[in-house]
Amino acid sequence: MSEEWTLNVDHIDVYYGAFHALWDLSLEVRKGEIVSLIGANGSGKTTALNTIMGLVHPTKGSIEFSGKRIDGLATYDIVTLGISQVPEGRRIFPDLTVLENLIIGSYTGRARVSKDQMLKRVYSLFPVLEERENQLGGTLSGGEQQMLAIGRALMSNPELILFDEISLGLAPIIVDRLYRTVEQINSEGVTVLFVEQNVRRSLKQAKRAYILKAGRVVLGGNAEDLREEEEVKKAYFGV
Amino acid sequence: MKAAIPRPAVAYALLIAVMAALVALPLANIEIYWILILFLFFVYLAMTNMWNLVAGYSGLISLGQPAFIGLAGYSLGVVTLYGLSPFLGIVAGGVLAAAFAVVVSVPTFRMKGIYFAIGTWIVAEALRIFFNAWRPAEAAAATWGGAGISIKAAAGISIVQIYYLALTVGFGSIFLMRLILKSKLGLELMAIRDNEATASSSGVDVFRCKLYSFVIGAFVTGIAAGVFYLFQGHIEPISGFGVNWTIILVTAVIIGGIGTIEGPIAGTAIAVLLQQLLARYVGVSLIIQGIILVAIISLTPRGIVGTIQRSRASRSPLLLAIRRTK
Amino acid sequence: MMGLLLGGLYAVIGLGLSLVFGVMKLVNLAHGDLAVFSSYFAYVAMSSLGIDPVASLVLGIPILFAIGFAIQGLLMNRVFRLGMEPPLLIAFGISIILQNIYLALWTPLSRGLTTGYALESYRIGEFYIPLVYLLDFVAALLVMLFLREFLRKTYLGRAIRAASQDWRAAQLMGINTNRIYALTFGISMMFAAIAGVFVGLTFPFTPSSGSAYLIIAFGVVIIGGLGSILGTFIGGVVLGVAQILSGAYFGAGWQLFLGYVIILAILTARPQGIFGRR
Repeated sequence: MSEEWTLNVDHIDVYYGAFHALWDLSLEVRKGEIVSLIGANGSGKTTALNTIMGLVHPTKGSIEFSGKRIDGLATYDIVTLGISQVPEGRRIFPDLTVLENLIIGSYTGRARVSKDQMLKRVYSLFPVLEERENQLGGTLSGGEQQMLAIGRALMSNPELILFDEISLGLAPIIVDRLYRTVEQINSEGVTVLFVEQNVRRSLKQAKRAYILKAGRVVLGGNAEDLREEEEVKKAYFGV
Repeated sequence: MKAAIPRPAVAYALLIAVMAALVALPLANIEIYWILILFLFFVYLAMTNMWNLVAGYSGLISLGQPAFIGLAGYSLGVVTLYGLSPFLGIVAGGVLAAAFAVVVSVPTFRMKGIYFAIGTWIVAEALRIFFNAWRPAEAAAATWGGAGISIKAAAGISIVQIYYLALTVGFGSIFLMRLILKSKLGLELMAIRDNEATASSSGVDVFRCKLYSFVIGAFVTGIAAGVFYLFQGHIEPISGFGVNWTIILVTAVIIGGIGTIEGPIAGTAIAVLLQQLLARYVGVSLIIQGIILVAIISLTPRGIVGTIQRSRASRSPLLLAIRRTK
Repeated sequence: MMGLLLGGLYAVIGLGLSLVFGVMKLVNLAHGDLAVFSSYFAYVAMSSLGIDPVASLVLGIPILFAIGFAIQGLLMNRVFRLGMEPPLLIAFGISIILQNIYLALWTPLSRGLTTGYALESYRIGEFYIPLVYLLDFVAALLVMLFLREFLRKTYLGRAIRAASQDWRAAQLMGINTNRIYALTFGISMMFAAIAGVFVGLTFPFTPSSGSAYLIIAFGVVIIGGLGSILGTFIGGVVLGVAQILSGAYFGAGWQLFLGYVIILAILTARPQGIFGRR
């Protein structure tokens, strides 16, 4: 798809069992953007991403991607439509090699044809993965696993990638490098929606952002403007 | 989940009436056939109640009950071989089964979940092979020279006596269940079933509770087996240690409702009924029971799981009660 | 020597069970009985149509695949994430149903797939090796090779491995995990079909043979450890040798006894098996 599209999350309510996780949440992501979700632990950031990916379904409201409703679809169907996720905790396949991890990323039909192309692209972004091609995923370091998870998500040739807390447990230098790669990916045409605990970094990398608190969106707007807001200033110190 | 429970006085009156009727039955002039069906019912009931105790309340899905059944049956055979009283033989069977349960618990309790299930099954199968090869000289002469021995005393016992024995064992098992479930052991077992880790950290000695229920289960199952084989008059390895027992126990308890007191009663009744109705068509009753089993679990798995891991709501009161009793 | 060859056969029996157990953490208690289905199928093909048992696999394999696919897709997929008990009991129920269907249709009489070549033996040194044992072994090697290549080189195979390691992440790859699980069960049944025919060629079978083969399959998986094809093979060989040895030293009736003891020992001491990972 090279035409313009939007991801429209429209007033969704999400429950985990009896727990009301998201309240009347709306957000929007347009093609080409880098958007971030900011908020403290438990504010619902990861839930929002998971709902978009179909791992959880909203009880109210709708999610539309390029005009098509995706909120009732199964995760694997959503992936086929062009959305990919780098999940919280990386979740790479520990008993598959780096290469196998990447290849399985291009499982969907739309991705298989461009597998070799994508592989080259991932290796150029993360040369260390090519070095460790035949190593088992579980033997990689934290930073390398994160790179593998990102690479894997890229393999499906997605329009939109959801990044869930990629800085968790990693040294700042590595996180810097990762986010530079995210920028590069975005500049190559992939839309980015990311969740990040570090507010400063969030507003630095994103063009637009939403602030979440207790499952609701309390603020949304351009990153520049948000930096001035009281809520955000509180978050700088509070988080 | 409360059905219409009649008030205690009414319930007891009904119970006594039923018991009286069952006791008086042989005196009426009904066909022996019905006595036999009831006999079978009560023998099975004791065993299903025990499987319910072990699997439904203690979370030990044992597929090895035939080990206890066969051992008890053979004990009876051996005891009566030497001319001793069959009642002694029945008790001996229960004791031997219980002792074996203690022994076997050492390795098997170390096996988790599915491994325990199959482990117990293998134990029963191993016993079957062992007894297949065991041909004590005098016993072999008693049967047709193959594996298995006959129960000498069987000839001297009347059907009515055996019926009363079965009645006692069957009703005994029901009262035993009520007794256990109301006791401290019962509360602890249900806590374990809900969440073993939580129970353990609340001070419940998980291993001992499981052991008690496993051994009690073995003992009563052994007694019931003794009664059964006293009636049958002979025992072979394939009968005593065969998987057919497991099939009856599991289907009866699941269909009737595992983890409930009434479950085994209903399930055993259905099992016996089906068996008799379809006796002419070999195996068909079991096919039907199998289908019902599969249907029940596929369609209402939470009914099974929900009962094996009872509701969250009941957890805290149980643990509180345990803490209070300590 | 015979134990080695027999081990190959046992490995095939165990392979299907290992696949399902490794991927879905589900012990298919009906595995043995489903393998026996293939034995009876071949038997019918042979006795009424004169078709060679191995040839009957052409139909036997797809049929059993479909059955397996249905079992997982329609029954197991609903319950297997709810814990260990529901799938165990469903499989148990299926086992009961199958065993009694066999009983009703073919009586407790033992049957065998007696073809001409099933009775031949070769003389190697001082051993007489029945031809079937050799065939069993060759079949086992082929099957194991096939599985290994399938799991390593194909998208589907990798998808199965991925789904067994992290099903949530697998879904994020666009993998329809429920369909993959059904496929896995179906493949497992394909192996059961092959096992059934070769078992039927090697030994006589009855409606209740499934139980013995289940225990052997389980033993193979336990001894060899989950997730390892080589381990399954080793497990098979151990059991095969144990059977031959105990048959030789203790008599025919004791053949499986030693094997059972070994299985129990390993279950107690090292449940993850010799090569096990999980």
